Amino acid sequence: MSAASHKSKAEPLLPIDKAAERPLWVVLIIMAFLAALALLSARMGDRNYSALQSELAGTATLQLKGLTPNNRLDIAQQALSLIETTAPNVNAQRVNDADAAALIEPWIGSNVNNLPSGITLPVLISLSNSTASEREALARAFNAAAISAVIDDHSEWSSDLTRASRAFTIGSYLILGLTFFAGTAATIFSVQSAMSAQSKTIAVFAQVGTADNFIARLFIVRAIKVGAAAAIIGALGALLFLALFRVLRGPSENGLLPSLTPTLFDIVMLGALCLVFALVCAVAAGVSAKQILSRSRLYT
Amino acid sequence: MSMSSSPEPQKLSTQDIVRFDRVGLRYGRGPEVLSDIDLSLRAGTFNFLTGPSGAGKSTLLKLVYLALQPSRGLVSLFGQDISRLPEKSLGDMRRQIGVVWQDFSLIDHLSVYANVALPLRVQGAAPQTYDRNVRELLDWVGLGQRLDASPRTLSGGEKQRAAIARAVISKPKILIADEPTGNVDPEIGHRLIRLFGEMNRMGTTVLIATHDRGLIDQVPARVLHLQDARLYEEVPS
Repeated sequence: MSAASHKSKAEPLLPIDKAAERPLWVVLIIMAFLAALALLSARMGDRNYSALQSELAGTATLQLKGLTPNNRLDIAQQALSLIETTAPNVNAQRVNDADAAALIEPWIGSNVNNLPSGITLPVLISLSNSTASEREALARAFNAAAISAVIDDHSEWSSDLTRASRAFTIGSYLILGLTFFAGTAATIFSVQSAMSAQSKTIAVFAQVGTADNFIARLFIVRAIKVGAAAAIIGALGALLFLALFRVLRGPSENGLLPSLTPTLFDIVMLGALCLVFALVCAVAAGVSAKQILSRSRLYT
Repeated sequence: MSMSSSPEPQKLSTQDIVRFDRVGLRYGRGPEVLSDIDLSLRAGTFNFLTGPSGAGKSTLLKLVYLALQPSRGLVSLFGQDISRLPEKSLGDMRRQIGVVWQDFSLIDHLSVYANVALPLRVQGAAPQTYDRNVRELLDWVGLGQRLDASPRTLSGGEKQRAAIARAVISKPKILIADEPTGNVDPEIGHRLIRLFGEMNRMGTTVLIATHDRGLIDQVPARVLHLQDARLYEEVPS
């Protein structure tokens, strides 16, 4: 192929005005960054929720009541024996006094050896691997043995956790949708501006019989390139932000803080997000360009 | 210009390429700039459209080129009523029309070569299929050394030649030109008219708007005269 034909092929039919495109780049990168953060938040939130639910499954806390300092250890022993005989599959472990004291520290302070008269440090027994019917059987057994006990199966906490997690996930996906919407709006605005700026060129395209689809494709290709590049930059920015956030937050010493480590599947999902983001930009550009061309047809 | 790479000459047909029936056109609520125009251009004919400045020559060409819609009457192109033309057919129909406007309508960010190749490129033709034709045509119109130049750097005459080359590169069925020799020296003007004549001999219908009587005298052709919004045919003396 000759040099000239090669040059002609390389010449873009629409000029790329980098200065005019800069605001679009900024908006799309920010939108992609927020979209990536929203996606990662939704996925990590969901993962942490599942982990907590899995941890809570089959667990319960048994609290012995009506104890005195003199009988608390004996009753604790009786309770453990009763659990072993009533529900042999359930793992029961007495929470040591230090941990029990830590649980009630917000109410009575740190000096558990000097509790007010009439208040006894509670005895807590942690149950795991228990089913609902086993917990009901235990409650009946404790009642029959005249041991005052309350079994908390964490269902309230679990229910709160489910609601909070669901709200967080829905919120994250809504934000994700909004960012796509904003990216679409920015792309449409940019296409309108570009078509207005290039009206003379587009009129010449029409004069030489260029189909609307061909003209629209020029904007689609540009939108795909800008959208994909902006999405990749935004997604990398979100990963960087997350890493920085982890450093600032510090490690989760007691396991209560959610894990902020993205998995390989999260990265794959971010790749898919970049692709979808670019496609959304392309569709927005194509539809917008075709609408404008359709409005300005036939008679230029 | 060598036409060796051109397709077989199109068969002349008695069919009207362009037909106007009682066409009127006004801009907004103004007076009619064209009134009761009846016109038929047969395939393979060479036609001049003449008349004083402001007579409506460019407007009539725009009607032919589908750049304007008549206010009344019927315009048909290649046997099709343009008011019933499906939107998607517009590009196909325009590809059969080569146009040279007074303002040249060249794209400044494209080279002369790319401007001329544009009608073929937007049809999806591969560069290697049209490279030789584009170069030959540009050589023929005297722009062989300006392939990579930007239209901004061309003189008025060079721009006009580039615009003409672009109009004829896809071998249209009808070639429309608005004052095509207005900015070129007589030698180039003569060459261009020869080019139009060659296109016409190959079956292309030619319609040239001009008020250059010298140009009209060069070619035995039908002469249409526009005056006071009406079209008359000049009878050869």
